[in-house]
This record gives sequence, structure tokens and C-alpha cells, in this order.
Amino acid sequence: MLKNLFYELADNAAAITSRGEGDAYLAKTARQYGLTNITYLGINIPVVGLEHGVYATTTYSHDWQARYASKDYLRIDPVIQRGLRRIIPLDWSEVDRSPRPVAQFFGEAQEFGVGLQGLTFPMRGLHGETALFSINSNLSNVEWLKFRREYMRDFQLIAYYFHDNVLNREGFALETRMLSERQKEVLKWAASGKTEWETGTIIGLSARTVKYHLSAAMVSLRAVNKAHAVARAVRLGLI
Amino acid sequence: MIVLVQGNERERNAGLMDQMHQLRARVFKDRLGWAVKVENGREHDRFDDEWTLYVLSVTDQNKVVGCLRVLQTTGPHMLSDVFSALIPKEAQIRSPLVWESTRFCVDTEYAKDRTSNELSRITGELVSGLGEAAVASGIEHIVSVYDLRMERILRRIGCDIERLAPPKDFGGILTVAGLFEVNEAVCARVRKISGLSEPTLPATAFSSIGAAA
Repeated sequence: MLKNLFYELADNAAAITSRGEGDAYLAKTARQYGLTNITYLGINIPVVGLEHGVYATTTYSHDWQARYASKDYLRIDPVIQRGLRRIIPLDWSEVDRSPRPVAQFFGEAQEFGVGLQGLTFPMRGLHGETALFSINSNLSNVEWLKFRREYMRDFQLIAYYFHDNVLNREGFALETRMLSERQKEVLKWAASGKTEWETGTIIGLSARTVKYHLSAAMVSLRAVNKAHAVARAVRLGLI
Repeated sequence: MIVLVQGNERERNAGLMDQMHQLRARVFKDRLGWAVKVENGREHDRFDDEWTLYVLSVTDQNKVVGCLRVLQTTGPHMLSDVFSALIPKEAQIRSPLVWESTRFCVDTEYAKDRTSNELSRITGELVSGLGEAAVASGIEHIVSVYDLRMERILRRIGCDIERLAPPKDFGGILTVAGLFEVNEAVCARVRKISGLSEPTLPATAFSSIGAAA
């Protein structure tokens, strides 16, 4: 069920045209995955009119947002301090909570409904912008570990597509979404039901290289898997 | 032993990082003659900033004997920004599921004084460390820019790196862009061939709750 939903979410991400729709998208994604919250924080977003280029949107309660702002928690929030300038997603359980202000911060966050578990995806874009995409959950430790294993890839894509959409809808064009000839070629063969191995044999590449081009095409099309990429390419008249 | 150093952990690991930059200077400039910039015996480039992950092979005596650097392909990286001539436009990549590995090197002076398998062991440890970190992060492919010598070494330890295009001459060095898939089976194969008995990263490397599972 989640797999179908994932298609829909990826399609929805591309269709977001306003901040309100973006908020609704995050709320829906959180609901569907059984998460307590999702937060996106973009920094140095190259859009006119944003103070310090900061673009934040979250499903946290209004009370927690107000509390966070009034206590100026941005300055001590260890997830932001540690989540930026790294590549491997940050599991919030890695954060050292022994300093008193940090322990107090997490304690309060829970009181205000932020999930026990957290995972933050760091992203770096092409224009000097960076972003953090965080998800929270109240799953037990064992369940959370399973969730992470199963959906880590999904959330890498969701986070990236959402970030892309923020730039896009603010009128900031990213690199062209055109498919390369090679990508079109592998998609066409995939559309006619060929496996990666068969496609490779036909066009003289290894199955693994075919898989790589399909993966690149998938991201270019903002799709979530091969079938989805084929469907989108057909719908957009690209193949 | 594998030590992962992320961009925001560089200061905390300043000693290891300094050793790594010295190793890179010895390998890339002194031994291989690449046109890299070395200052005070340390090699740095503009990609050595905060948005990096370093995979270091470190001995019990805290000596760095191998290293590689990881960049996200969604941001600036070497294949798109420096070596774009190496691959056709169609093979350019920007994907949250693909990392780039560069500056891969092993201290051959150290390795040659030891058993004949030491070079393979260090290489395997680096590749498996990279792969394990990538898999835990939801990453599916690694792209890399390397010379032909490196390609042979990688293939010897079971890393099926594939060329994205024919090699090209960069300042007298035949350089090529390649990719390999990462998953648990690939990491296990590399470890087996290079003589490593267990994963290079503890199950708890990314989450202290791993221990509870």
C-alpha cells in the first residue's frame, strides 16, 4: 500500500504550487507513513525576499513553533548544529543529550508532541543552498530501526523532490529536466517490458550500467522507481 | 579499522585529518605525479569543505593508511565540476541516491612492509566502509573518477567498477569515470575477497538504538 502511495506522493510533490500546498503535502506524507512530524528547513535558498534565504515549513504544533521561536531554540537545536555539514542522515539518538540545555530542549519537544525518534536528511544543492529534511516518529526502537531500513531510500527521494519543488515554485529553475538520449533509450526498452539485462544486451551495455541510467532517468523525472519513471515519461510524451 | 569523519566532525578529528592530507600529498603528488596542489606537505582541494564524508583506514597505532572522500552528487562534485569532459552529457548525474567517491588512496609504503595481502585488506576495508555507510543512508550507486591503476586494484578485491566512458588523458594520466552498485551483498563479497571477517562499521555506527534491536 505504501508503495502506491509513494507514487502519489512523488506526483503530488511535483504539483505543489504554494506554501500552503507544501504544508499540506508534508502533513499528508506524515500521516501516510505514520510519522508524528515532518520538517523542512532550507538555508541560503536563492529566492528574493527570504531573510537569510531561510525557508522553513513544518507539521510541528503551533505551540511548539511558538515556544521554539520565543526561546530562540534555533541557536541550541543540536539537530541543526549537527545535521548541517554532513552527508550521512542524522539519527537523533546519536545526539549527546547530556548537556542540560540539550536534555531540556528534547524534553520540551516531547511535551509539545514531537516524536521520540528523529531522522534528519542533509542536502546540498547546486546554488550554495542547503536543506534539512527531518522526520519524527513514536515507534519503539526496534520498529524504528526497521522503518529506517525499509524507507531510507524513499525519504532520500521525498526530501530531494520537496527541496527541488521549493526552489522551483519560487521561480528558481533548476538544471534542465530533459532526458538524455541514453536515458530515453533505456526507458523505451523498459517500457516494452525488457529487463535490464535484456536491454543491456540489445544496446551493448552491462545490466548494471543500464540500471544506473534508469536510476538517473528516474530522478530526472522525479519518479520513485522504474515503472513510475516509464509511466511519467510516456505521459509527458518524452518517449 | 574504519573511521568515518563527516564534514562537521573534522575539527574533532584534526589529527587524523592532517595525516590524511599528508598521505594524499605523498600518494597523488609525489608518487603518482598528479597536478594537485600541495602546501606544507598537505594536499587539499576546493571540495574539502564541510559537505564531505571521509572514510579513513586507521591502524591500531592511530596511523592513517588509506582514505577516500565522499561528496553528494546533488551538489558540487568532481565529475560534474572538474571532469565533466570525461563522460558524455547523458551520463552526468544529480541524484540523492548516488554518492561520488574521490581521492581514494592507500599508503603503499606502509602496505609493502607487511604481508602481501595488506594492500588488498586496506582497499577492501575502504570500499566496504564506503558501501556500508552508503547502504545505511539509502544510497544505491557510487560514481568515481580514478586512474587505470586504481581500477585494477578495485577489481581485484571484488569491486565491479564499470566505466561510464573510455578513459581520457588528463595531464598525462589516463583517467576514467566509473560506477558501482552498493548493497549488502556487494559489501560482503568485497570483505570476503579482501580477507575481512566482519563488517567494517559497527551496527550501531549510525544509531545508538541499533544495539537494542
